[in-house]
Amino acid sequence: MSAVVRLNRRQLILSAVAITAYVCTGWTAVAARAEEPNRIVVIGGSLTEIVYALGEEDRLIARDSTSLFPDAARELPDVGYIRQLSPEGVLSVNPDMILALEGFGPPEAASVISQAGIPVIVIPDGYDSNSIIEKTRATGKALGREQAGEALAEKVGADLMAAETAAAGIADKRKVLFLLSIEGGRLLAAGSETHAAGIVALAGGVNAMTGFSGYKEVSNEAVIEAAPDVILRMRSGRDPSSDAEVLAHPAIAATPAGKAGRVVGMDGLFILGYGPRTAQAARELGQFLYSDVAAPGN
Amino acid sequence: MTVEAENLTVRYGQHTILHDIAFEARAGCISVIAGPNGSGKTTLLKALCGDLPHSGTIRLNGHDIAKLKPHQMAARRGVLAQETTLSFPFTVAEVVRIGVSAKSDPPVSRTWSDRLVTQALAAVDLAGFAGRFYQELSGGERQRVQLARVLCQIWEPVDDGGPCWLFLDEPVSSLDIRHQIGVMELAADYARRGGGVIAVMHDLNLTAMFADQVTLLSSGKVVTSGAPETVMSDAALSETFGCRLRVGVQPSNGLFVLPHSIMDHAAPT
Amino acid sequence: MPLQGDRSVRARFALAGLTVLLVLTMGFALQVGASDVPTLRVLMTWAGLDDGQGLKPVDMIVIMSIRLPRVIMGAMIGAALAVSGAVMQGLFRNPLADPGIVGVSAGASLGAVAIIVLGGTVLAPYSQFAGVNALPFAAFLGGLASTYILYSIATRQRRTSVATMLLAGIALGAFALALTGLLIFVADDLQLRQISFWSLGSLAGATWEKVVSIMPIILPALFVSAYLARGLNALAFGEAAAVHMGVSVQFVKNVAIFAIAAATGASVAVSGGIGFVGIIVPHALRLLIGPDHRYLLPAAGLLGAIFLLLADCISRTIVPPAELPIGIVTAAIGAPFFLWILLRRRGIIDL
Repeated sequence: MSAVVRLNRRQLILSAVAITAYVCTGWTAVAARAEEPNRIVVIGGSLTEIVYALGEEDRLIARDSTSLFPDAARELPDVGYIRQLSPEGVLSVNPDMILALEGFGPPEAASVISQAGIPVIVIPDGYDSNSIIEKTRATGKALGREQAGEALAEKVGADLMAAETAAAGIADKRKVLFLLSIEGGRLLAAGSETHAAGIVALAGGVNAMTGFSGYKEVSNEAVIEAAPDVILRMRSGRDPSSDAEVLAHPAIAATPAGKAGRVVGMDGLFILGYGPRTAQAARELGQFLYSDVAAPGN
Repeated sequence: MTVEAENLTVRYGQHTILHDIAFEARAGCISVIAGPNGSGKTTLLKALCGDLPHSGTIRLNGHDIAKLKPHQMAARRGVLAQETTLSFPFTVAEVVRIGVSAKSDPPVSRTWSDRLVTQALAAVDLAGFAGRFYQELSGGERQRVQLARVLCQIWEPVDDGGPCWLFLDEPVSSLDIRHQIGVMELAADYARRGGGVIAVMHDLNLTAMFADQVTLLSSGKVVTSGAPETVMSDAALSETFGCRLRVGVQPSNGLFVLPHSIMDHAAPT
Repeated sequence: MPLQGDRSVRARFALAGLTVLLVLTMGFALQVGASDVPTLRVLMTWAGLDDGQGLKPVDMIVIMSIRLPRVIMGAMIGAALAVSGAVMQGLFRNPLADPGIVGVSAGASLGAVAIIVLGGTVLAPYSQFAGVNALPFAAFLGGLASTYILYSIATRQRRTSVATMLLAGIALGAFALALTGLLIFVADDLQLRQISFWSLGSLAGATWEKVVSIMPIILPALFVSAYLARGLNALAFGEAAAVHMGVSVQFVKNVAIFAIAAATGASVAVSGGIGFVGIIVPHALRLLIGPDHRYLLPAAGLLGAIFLLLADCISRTIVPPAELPIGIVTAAIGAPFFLWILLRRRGIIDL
């Protein structure tokens, strides 16, 4: 038993050294195209979108279960949920690089994959538009396509900038309540520091729920007090309820959004994915928010 | 050697169940505790078993039971409760074998242990029942399986440590008359071989027949105690049970079933 | 002639058979998986019997760092869950008792979540002290603490009432869940992510570090429970009858509760909640070899290990390269099997 553990520790140290060496040389050896990784497992829906936008999809061999766009990505083998990866499953597709969004796990899986000498490139995530540009840039760099990554980042950045400018030009901002779920009549809403709050701001609205971070259950009174003008929800999320059901909820019905029947459902990955399509998602949401007034900003 | 209680008082919360009881049972005898419902018979037996917190002193073969450990008590006395439910599907043989393993000197060899189980089952007229499931038996059969288990625990009525004791709480209440007599004869045999038997009884006829000593309880107090022929008088029984009773008188319609008939004839088969 | 109704000979054969089966199952579990790896050669290489020519480093990793710790951890957890179930059923005299219902699992969850949410602030000294084992050990402490609180509530005048214990267990479990919910509510995004890693956790997170951290908790608990057999047999007749048979009931209870808390707490800490093993395995064995705890407890350990290893084999090969959570597999096998037992032998286990 102890012999096994000792062996294991030694392996761990050796592989840690190996990874460090690999990562160090990785940045300088970009030019060596012949040795660049071309059996990549991508973990995270937005990263998959970026890889496809860069035209590098031929180098992918597997994806996680959140990578659902574009449709072609669904054809790749699925190694499981981003937070619940099986190390053996990931190793079994024989990858030479793991491209993973910050927050993948469990940590044990990541460490075992690293032990096997396979580089794990972690791409940072965030809640503002700048994080999307950084994500694009980092993905391009990890794939050895820094120029293409930079070009895409600039294009995405310009797109986002336009959306931000348009949002800044709106004087009378609509209040948006993002509902993750209304299962059992309990309202699970987005607070600050969420992708939902980010996309609402980018679309020129304001998040109706303030004072807490993350996704939390909120009371009926708080929802009425917040008086949202629009309810935003995911169309193909885990919550099977329809828009009519949402409007029938007593607290929602008492809000301006409920009285005007203003509920919008959008694809979850589209609005919360924070990838190349985010600016477009913000535009579409903005159009709905201000569809009753003259086109906002432009 | 005796089981004796001095100044025994037992309380449940505010209620005093037993008031300052003096009790003595001798080895080699069947001592019966009788009395109406709620008189404290079972409470007295439980106190003698060491189950209940009490004031006063209880001695088992001269040792204060407050100072005895459960395994020391178990080596001296076996207890048959009014009813025993089992939570798992044991077979009859397994139930009785658990009694064997509770012996102070459990047999080392399996053959010896098997023989003890077989003998105990035969003693309670359940030979051939070893393979049956306990849960499938009738109430009376279950009661006799439990008696066989208790017997195995204190198989020898007398050993190096002195006499052993059978504590029986209404041992015949769920049995047919043949097995009532069978169980009482088994107890009498245990006493004849030097062991002690203390039994709570409702059946006054069987008591009169088998008891060497009777203690009548009423409202937690001893009414009288002694040999059955002195204790079981019209006056004492009427006072104890609160209704008019007469000893040894033929009913007016002339019809009664008398277990005593076996005393005049050969043993039943 | 053997005594009728005595299943001890059958039980001994069953123990021998289960031991062989466990060894075979462990070999099988090492052999199957999403990757195609020459398991035998890797093991021979490790033992120095093969030169290892032609083996890829990743093969070594898959066997030595992924499958082997997983198989050992799975066997220990399966044994711990099944034995703690059997001990608890014996203690509560109820074949449907389960460590989950007296709040051991809920307490363990609370401990784990507390260390995730408060580990950086209020509990910082503890997490620095415990290091990488902070979470498993906190879960174990949570399970133990909840069992002892429960125990002191249910014990009056040195006697433990099983009915009070069951009811108080349900109440305490609900209370622990409420506290866990509160902690989840105040958790920030990063902590929520860690909580989800932990609660989704299955045997997939098995590492040598985890094996080493739970072994000193689970193995003594299993070892000690073997000494409870005679006391639990006597307890089947009720507490009073057990005392009459010379069993120190209070001592048996103390040891049993500690063993249950240790085994369950440690299992929950590293594997999240895995249901049904603690009920199914002892049940099946009672039908096969009878309820005598002298054989039931070791057999439950062996069969629990086998059952969990096989369930894990299914969970990691059914949707490759992804994995199905093992709790789904044990419930999917366990629940129908449990119903089948209930229907088939209703009379026997009826209380």
